[in-house]
Amino acid sequence: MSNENLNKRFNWGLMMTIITAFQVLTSTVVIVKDGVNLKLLAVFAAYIAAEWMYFFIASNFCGQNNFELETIGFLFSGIGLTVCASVYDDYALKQMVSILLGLFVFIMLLVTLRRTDIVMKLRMPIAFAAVGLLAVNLLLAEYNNGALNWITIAGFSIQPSELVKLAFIFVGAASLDKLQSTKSLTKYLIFSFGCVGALFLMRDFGTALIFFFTFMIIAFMRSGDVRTIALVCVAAALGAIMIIYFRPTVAARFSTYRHIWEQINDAGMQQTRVLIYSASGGLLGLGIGNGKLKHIFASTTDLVFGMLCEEWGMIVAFLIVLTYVFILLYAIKVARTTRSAFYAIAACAAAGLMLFQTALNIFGVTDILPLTGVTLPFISRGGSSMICSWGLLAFIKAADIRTYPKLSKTILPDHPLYPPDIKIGKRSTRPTRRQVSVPRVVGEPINQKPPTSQTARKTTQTKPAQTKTATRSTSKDIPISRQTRTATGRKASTSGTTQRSASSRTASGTARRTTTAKDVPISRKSSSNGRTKR
Amino acid sequence: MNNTTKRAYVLYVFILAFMVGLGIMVYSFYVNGGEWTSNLVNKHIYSNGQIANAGAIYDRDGTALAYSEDGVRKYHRSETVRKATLHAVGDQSSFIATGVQSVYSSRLSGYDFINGVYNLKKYNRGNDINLTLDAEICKVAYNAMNGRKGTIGVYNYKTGEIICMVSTPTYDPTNKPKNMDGNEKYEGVYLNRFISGVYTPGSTFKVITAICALQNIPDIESRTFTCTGKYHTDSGDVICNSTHGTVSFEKAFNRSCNSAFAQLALELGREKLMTTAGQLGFNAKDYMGEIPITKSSFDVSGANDVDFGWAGIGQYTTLVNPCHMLTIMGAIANSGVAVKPYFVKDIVSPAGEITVEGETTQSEIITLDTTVANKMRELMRSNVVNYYSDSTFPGLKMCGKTGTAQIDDGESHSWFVGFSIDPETPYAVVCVAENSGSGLSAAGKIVNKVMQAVCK
Repeated sequence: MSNENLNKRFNWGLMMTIITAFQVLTSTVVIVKDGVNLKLLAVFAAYIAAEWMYFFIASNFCGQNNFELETIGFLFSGIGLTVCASVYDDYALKQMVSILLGLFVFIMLLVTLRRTDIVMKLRMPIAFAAVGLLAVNLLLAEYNNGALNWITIAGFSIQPSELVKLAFIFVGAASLDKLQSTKSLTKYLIFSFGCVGALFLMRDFGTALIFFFTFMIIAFMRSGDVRTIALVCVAAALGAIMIIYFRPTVAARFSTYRHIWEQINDAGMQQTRVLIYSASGGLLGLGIGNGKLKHIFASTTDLVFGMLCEEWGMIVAFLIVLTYVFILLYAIKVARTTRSAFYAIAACAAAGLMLFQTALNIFGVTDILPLTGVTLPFISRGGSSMICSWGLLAFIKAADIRTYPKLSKTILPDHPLYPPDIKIGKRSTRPTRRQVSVPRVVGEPINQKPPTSQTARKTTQTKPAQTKTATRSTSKDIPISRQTRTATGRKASTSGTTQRSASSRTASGTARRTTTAKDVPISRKSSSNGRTKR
Repeated sequence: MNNTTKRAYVLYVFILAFMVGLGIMVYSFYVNGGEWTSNLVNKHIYSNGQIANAGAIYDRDGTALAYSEDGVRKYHRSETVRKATLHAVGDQSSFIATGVQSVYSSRLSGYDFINGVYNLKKYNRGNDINLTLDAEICKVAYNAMNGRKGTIGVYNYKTGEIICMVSTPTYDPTNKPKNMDGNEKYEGVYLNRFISGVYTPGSTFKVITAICALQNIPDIESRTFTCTGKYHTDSGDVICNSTHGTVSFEKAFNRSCNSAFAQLALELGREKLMTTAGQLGFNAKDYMGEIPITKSSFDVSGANDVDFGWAGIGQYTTLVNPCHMLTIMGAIANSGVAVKPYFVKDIVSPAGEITVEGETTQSEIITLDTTVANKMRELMRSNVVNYYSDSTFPGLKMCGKTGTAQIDDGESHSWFVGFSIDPETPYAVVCVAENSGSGLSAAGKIVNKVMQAVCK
């Protein structure tokens, strides 16, 4: 309750005014650079108007009283727009439209995510659409800077992998919602390997890494099994080594890594210029439009961090990247009190993805990591990236209990998520509930059915999975099934290894399972045709 | 559900890793920022790889040797001064690695971690650098070299200020010749021979042998040597420039008798000569501010008798750096206290803040006993009085030693090292004129012209 009071007291209107003032100041520098550029003036005016319109409608008609993520999104999108306009004023309109599109996607996702039943229905169509989009991408791809990740439709070039990022989290959080279900894990594994494989074929190594990282967050948060993750990592590392071995462009990038000064005018050109000009900017920057990095290729996209350092100052640049850390911390915090595991996983995965992409971008261009050519969320110029960034914000905002305040009473009145005695968002009730419920839950199966039921369940869990993957491997492609076979093989061995591990798991395993069964409508539904009936 | 959110702890690990990465980034910017901004591709400072925007460089009288105006690097109006000070000032593209425009480029650009190169952009100026050089004396020295390759350096052995430092061949930075690559005329043009060059010392090395003798042989000043035009060892003969007959130590030094000094070297032995050379800074790395000085090398541990005899008179594998030799001269002139030479005096920020760069400091690599130094000074004075004649240096009270370094191909390098003992003009001088024959006739005359200008 104190949280809500705090939010009511917090003056978001004032916050928006401050942001607007900042945007007016920075955009003025760009607008009056060579006389008054009326076109840019219109673009910035439209952008600021759109911000206020969203704020006005959301706070007055949609009952929203917290705007942490939106204000960050507006501020950063505005900075990105200003950077873009300071270099290419022709692109400013396009970029502004991209932000509005991003905002639209943000709103639409928020509306969709409110209904978990709809999410469940959309899960498979979106998965197929995502894979289909990547397949179309591969067919129509244009070779672009060593990667094939662009397609051009009606004069607009889009980067499907950016949109698939949203689908990846959507599908991942929804399908892994059901606990310890090998079937859903296998499905998601196939989907993930499909996506990552397509990205490898496109030679978009950076995005493939991002997908892999996101996959790990989702998989780990669902299963909590470090060994499963470790196995996946080892497999991925082997795959990565093969990629480096076979793909000359990727190998070239890695050979440049830590040798940029030796290749200052070819392979290390971008990184060296970022370092030189970032240092030239100092902590306080040289001023918008006064930089030299803007003349380097991809200055407003991949190298935009360097432009921020040079022109806006390292303090601003570092505050921006630190904000992504805070977004992740915020996501972890709201995930604790959110109403279902789906939201928690989606929020953590989205915020984790954002920070990971930021890390790849800023450490890549400064030669702390190999350069992978990914964008900086919100700041880099580009429509697909902007839409993806706003979509990621929607996942995080959806997890915040304050986002859908009337949900329990009006929309889903007798939803199992909301038993009358639980007040959403009150963390103080949680510890007692957990302490009370866990022994009760553990007690039930042990009293009713002797431990034999546990082992029986375990064997039924592994055996059908093995046969299923075996049949699938004959019909579908081989590398993926090989992956899953090793995964299930390992599982079978651990279940029969020692008595200690089996017994120690029983308590936590059952506790986990029952809590989700209570928490999540999805799992209950899908479990009816799953293994629990057997 | 609770387990699910608890598992978010892995994300804290990731956040930690991210923060470590940021820390590394800030640290590397802090440590390397100056070096990175001075890169030739930085268009804030360089234009087409040539220095454009940077602070000015002044000589000791406040004459601008290099400065920037409207994004163009400009130099002293006199072509001779431009050529004479090229190696001190440095070229536009940092080919001359020891030039101020290369070594102090981050200072000239006014870079600092907080502001970057903002001052350079805003006020169109970075930090200015004041040198101890005198442009007019450098001009005299350049003219005195008269097209020969080599170097000449003059410094105040009481304060350490270098007032003249010229290296030839050189060129005009405002009108750089196009055909320098592979052109014999411009061989080693980017090398400041005074700081980075090493030469066979020839007879000037007899100063070191003599110091060793003064240190180790008590009755050396009463000893006599017999010169028959060569000195015979089991492994061969050391040839002398003349047949001097029976000569005292002083006279042997005056006449630069190879026989006597080869004999002395063999008598002293390899160990003692190497010890003395080590005390005088041979085989030791030294820096002038941030500029590395190429080290002089002397190693006779593997030499047979005749080679060691030659080494004692400055031949064999011995190599000497002119700046190092000048510092040894300073130590002898200054009663054993070797003052380190420097030519970058201070750095002045646009706000007028002064950072002292060069000041009077004692050399860490050269140690010399006062009595030995004073005896050595008398011997070198005796060279001028009794052999070269004071009329060679009219109006001056010079001490010196010539050298004629025989090289494998071509004519000998001509050396002159020395100093003025007039307390009004406490200057030491070193001059190497490549392929110019005997020490006195070439280098001696150059030194006279320069010292006349210095002591005017």
